[in-house]
Amino acid sequence: MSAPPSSPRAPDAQSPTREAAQVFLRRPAALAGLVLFALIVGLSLLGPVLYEADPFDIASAPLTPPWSSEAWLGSDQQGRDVLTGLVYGGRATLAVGATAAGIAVLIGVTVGALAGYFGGVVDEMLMRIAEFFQVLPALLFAMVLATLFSPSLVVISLAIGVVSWPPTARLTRAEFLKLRELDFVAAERVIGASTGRILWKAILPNALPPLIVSATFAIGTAILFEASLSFLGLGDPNRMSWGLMIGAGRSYMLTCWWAVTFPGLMIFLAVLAISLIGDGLNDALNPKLRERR
Amino acid sequence: MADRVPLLSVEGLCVDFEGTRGIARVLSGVSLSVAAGETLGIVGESGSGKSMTALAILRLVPDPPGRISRGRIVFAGEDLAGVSPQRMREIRGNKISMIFQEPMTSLNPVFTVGAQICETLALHLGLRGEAARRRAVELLKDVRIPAAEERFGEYPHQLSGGMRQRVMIAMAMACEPALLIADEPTTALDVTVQAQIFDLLRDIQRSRGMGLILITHDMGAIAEMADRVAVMYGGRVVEEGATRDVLERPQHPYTRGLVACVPDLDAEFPERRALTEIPGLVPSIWELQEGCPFADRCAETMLSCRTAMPPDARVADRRVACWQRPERVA
Repeated sequence: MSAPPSSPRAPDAQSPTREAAQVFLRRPAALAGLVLFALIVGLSLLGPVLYEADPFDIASAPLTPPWSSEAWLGSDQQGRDVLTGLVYGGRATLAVGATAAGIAVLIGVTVGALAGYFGGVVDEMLMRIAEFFQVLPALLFAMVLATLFSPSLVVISLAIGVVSWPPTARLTRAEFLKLRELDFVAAERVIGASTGRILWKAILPNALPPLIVSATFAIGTAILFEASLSFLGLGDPNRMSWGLMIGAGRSYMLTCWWAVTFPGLMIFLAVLAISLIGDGLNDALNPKLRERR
Repeated sequence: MADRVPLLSVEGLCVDFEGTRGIARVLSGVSLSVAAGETLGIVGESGSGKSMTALAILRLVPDPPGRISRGRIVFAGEDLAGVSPQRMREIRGNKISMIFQEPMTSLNPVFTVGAQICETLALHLGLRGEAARRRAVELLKDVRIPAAEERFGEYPHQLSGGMRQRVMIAMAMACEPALLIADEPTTALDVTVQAQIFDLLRDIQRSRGMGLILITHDMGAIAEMADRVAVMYGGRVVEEGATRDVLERPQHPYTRGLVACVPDLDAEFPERRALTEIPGLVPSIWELQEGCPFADRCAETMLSCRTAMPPDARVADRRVACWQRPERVA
């Protein structure tokens, strides 16, 4: 009786994180997304360092078509080089995307966690607030915010973040509602853990897989949002971004297709890459999907 | 036993739940006590208030809707019913620990078992890093987990149910609590593992002189483990006394019913082997009326049972709450 029989060892004793990484890397689509995203980020971060130019400078004759010697991807109606714009515009686009998604996730996770864990009146109040933001036409509301304050990258990130947190809040709330009933949360209380500790250290790590996936998609959505705002002329006019390039070239779209097509393509590729990564993460982090493979 | 100093004494504890149908009294006047080095068994059917008593002692009754409305929980000279939430957090896991019935879900699936034991050590003893690690491995060895060093870095899903319950015990023992509450610790485990866990609990308790409250509905476990037993029904303790005494000479009709439910496999006559049962169901908490909660199922009901709750009749070390009993106990 005193020496209990040892239970059979699990075949691969490794952390769930490493297991998920392996599943992720075995997926061609996810891997392609990762490579593409790395290329875009690399171009945006390193490009301006290696290739010094001012994207707002007049580099060649206006409306130079692409594949010409003075402007590889052509120039817009003011003679600004499209390639230089692409290289320099990525930083702002990606920064706004990441910051806005970060803000949305931060608000969403906090609100959702508190609502789901405490329930009752707290839940009612927070969810009514979330619904208020959900029924607002997001783009219009972001436009109002961007117009009210000077359209800097920070304001635009905030505006996008503030309108896009409710879905994350709902997702987090659902996870916390489910997890708070489990015995390990009770066990955590029994060892004398504080509420903050239970929320952030015990429950949140268990809720992370769907949240990571949702945060990834949120970056893609935020990039599209930024492009929409810039297209409508509400972007930061002093910072080159892909959205701004499309916005500036929109009136010449028919005569000067290259000024809008190339930045559009970049946005498309960035969002595609992020979606592929998100899908791959979803498969890797969701054990139910993994078994169905 | 008469002059023992209780480590924990619960006096007249009442817990109310507020629901859409009014206020339900889930515990009404529960009194119990445990001394250091003693095991108190709490038995009763589902819904009798066993687990609620344990939660109330740790002040973990979900509030709202639940509330400790009356009574005292005196632990080491301090009334836990009145201390601040912060003080209560210092006591939980440190002075009083608890283990649950479901070892499959009581461990956090995303952390290694070692990390979870270390968390308790950091929280109450300020142990971190290598010191915490060494202590955690020691604890795993104390609960007889083979290859403790390796198990330290494993995740809960890599362990069997029995192993996980041992880890839970190791976590509960991390700060050498004065009192351990085990809420049906073996219900989810198979019989041989059950015996091992009971052995382990008994050894730990003896070597450390810890008070143990064992909540169960297994009369066999009570007979084997408990020094004293409290029988609960309808949110009340209906009978309490030394285990042998209660099991051999049950006084309350409900206790007698429970004892009769245990089949006697050695009996010569086949009819004694048959399983007996207590007719009826535990009354819903919304339907508790005046009088004894067991009156509807009792074979010996009389008029007073319907009108008023019988008071505790104490004779020597024994306590019975039944209108029929006081004169017969002696």
